[in-house]
Amino acid sequence: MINVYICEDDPKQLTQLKHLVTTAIVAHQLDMQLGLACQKPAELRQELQAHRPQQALYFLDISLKAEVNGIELATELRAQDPQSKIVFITTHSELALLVFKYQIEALDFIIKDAPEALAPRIERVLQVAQDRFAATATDVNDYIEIKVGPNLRTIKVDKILFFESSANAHKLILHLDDGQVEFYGLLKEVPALNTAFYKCHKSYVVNLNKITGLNKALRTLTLTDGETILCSLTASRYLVKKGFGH
Amino acid sequence: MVFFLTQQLFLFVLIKLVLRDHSRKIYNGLFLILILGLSFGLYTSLKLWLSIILVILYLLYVYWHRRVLSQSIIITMETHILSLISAQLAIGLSHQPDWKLTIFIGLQIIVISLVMFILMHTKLSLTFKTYRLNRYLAALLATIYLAIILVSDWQYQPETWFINLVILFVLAGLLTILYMEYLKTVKTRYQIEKQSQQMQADARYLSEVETHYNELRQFRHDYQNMLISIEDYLTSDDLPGLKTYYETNIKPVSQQLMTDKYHLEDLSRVQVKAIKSILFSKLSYAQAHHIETHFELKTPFSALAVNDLDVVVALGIILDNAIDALMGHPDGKLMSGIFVDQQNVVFMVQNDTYDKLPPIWQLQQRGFSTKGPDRGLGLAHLNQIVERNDQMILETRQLGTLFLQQLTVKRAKNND
Repeated sequence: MINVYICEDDPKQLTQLKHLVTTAIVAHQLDMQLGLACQKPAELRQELQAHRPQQALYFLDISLKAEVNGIELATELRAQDPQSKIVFITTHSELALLVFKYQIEALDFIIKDAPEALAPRIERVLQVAQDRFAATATDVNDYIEIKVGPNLRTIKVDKILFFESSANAHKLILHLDDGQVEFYGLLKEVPALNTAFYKCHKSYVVNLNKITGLNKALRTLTLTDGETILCSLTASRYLVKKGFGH
Repeated sequence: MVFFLTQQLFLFVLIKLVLRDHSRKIYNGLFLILILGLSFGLYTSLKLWLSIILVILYLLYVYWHRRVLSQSIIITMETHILSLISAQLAIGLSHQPDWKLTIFIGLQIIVISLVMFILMHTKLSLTFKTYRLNRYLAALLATIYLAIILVSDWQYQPETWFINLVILFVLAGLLTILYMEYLKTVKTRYQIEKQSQQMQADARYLSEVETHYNELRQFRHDYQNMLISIEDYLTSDDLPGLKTYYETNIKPVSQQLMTDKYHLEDLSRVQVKAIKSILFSKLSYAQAHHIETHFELKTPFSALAVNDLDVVVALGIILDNAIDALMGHPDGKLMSGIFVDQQNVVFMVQNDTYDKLPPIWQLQQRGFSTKGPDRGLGLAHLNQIVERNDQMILETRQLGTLFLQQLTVKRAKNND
């Protein structure tokens, strides 16, 4: 059962949202219930302290007229429960703001200036949330979590090429299909995160699924994006045994 | 005699070591045989001149490797001086003549292992990168070397080794001090240049703020007039008139308020001056080139845990790349913003991309650029800055047609 929470400071919009969410749950027979609909973050915190939900979905207004805004509240909620899903309710002009989009990995942004589109959008996002929870329950192995600066990031193992230790002792560089992310961590702790990770060199942990070639003479591995990384002697022997390098 | 040959042997090893040349090609052996043969054959007849001939031979050997005369002279002289000092030290330390060879070999082994250790564990180079400095150093070292061999008059006399050592230390000390001073002036010059750039940007920012302020005053004036007009229409119950008035007079103004130039207002919340300057100078440059530019910052922040200059240079590179990518694309957008939390300040820059970009690891290679040769030091330099700062984290992503860079910097611990 997924608990749905709504926090929106405008009473009229709050009632509307509450109504839309409950009707969608009933209409599509979703495995969800409305936990609380409130105007103040404090009320939400109290409720969460009393009943800690297993799976939670939050609808948060970005500009709450309270001591914290929606983004800060979301950060707080995520810190307590990294698995929780968050949907932001926002105005069009707020959505244009870049900062909001990247700070929290939000499930969706719902624009409240367009009331006619609200109902289908909420139905869809509830459905998506349910699917995601179902998926994470079975495929925990497909994702890893790392802390990048202030944010906890969920990253698909599928997108990871390799981890590299940087010249700086505390920093690791995570190489993805579409970019690079630095974070604080230890390379020796990386292989434990997923079975596909293998420490192929003192400064590299590679995702075994991304190796396209092994050069035994130069002791290098070629990855799907064409980059080559170093590979130790023991590792190259291990990888040959595993059937790489043909 | 044996002593002299041993000295040459160790000298050769030392030079190979300093050159970081580990090859064992045949010409190395030939050269060594030539040196030893010459020493053996001409030792008694030539004396001082033999040393000079050998030095020239060594110089040619080093030059053959390095291909730069000043650097070769430096390396040859450095190794020769080291060897000479050890030899004189060995003679000075041994009370009995038969001990001096043993002591010399011991000293040389210590020197060589020390040099090996230093070379393996540091990136220390025995020559400078600047051509001019290299020439001065070469001349200086050559003079020192000549002075030492002339003063000790070829035959090592027990009383001169100590004086030589003292002279050498004094000179080495002087050299270090001079080099430090040189570094300091270069650094100061660089900082002054940066500061004057910052001051220019500050002045421009100020005049920009003034213009905005004047516009605002104008707007307040217009606003009062509008209110009076609206009141007029209302008192006369002229709704159609009010409607046309709204369409023609008020609506355009409200649209004008949304235009580009107000998108940088949040810059006023940036309290670190150097950062404000670089942001303003780059972003206003982008605006001047008709790129739609946004900047957001809601929470002011003060000090960062990283030196401001590094942050400024890093931001400059990130913004330059974004602007470069957007040049000539009128529909492109440059989005930038700063997000502040308790421990970190996150700088974000995002731009649309129009050309198909190669994978990021290629972009980061020194000298690689989508814009042709002589460029592309940007991302490599950025990586260098981030690498040397423990408190900086960089994220680079290509999300569809968006290129996003996010620089996370730790905030300084508050003293209050």
